[in-house]
Amino acid sequence: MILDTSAVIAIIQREPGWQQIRSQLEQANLLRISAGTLQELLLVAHCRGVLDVVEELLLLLDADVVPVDEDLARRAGGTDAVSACQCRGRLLRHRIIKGFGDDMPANNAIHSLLSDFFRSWTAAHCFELWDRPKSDPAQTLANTTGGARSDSYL
Amino acid sequence: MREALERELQRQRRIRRSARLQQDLSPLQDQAAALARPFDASELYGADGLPG
Repeated sequence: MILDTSAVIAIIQREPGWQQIRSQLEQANLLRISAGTLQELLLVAHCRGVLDVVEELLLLLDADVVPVDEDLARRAGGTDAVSACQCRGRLLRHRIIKGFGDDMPANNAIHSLLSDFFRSWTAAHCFELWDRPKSDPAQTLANTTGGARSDSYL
Repeated sequence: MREALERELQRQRRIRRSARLQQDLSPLQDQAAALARPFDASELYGADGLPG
């Protein structure tokens, strides 16, 4: 089972469906989270003021953190990755954890991690823009229009 | 042998995770409810597309 940002936030803030997610977590033999998702999760938790609590929950969950390296990032440029992102978007809308069982083909899990990588990169970019001083609107606009917008998952 | 050990390790982790969730999740959720502040992603940018 691969852990998703929205699922952790849903649990910690008792959002609709959190009991189902908890039940899945209790039953999962293997729990993983990509390093990209972890970064995104910590950013979102910070913005919501629940960073410390989420850190405690992560300790409790004891998930394996899976690294996202350059090789995975470069492979994310393919059409398969695009479809994986679309698939991921549907999952996010339903705010669930997608259970990737041990029998799931490995490439599907990789695709999931790739979409995590994209989302984490754009999250970092958003927050970089967010923290930029307003006194430099031209630079901010240039960066805003030139960069990816990714606020749908926050 | 190695696979069997790995399976057992994961089983133990699952049991421990389940027990911890039952014991500690509710207090953590209460803590989060007390600390959480509203955060709307749409507030990141204004109507002009600039960070708000």
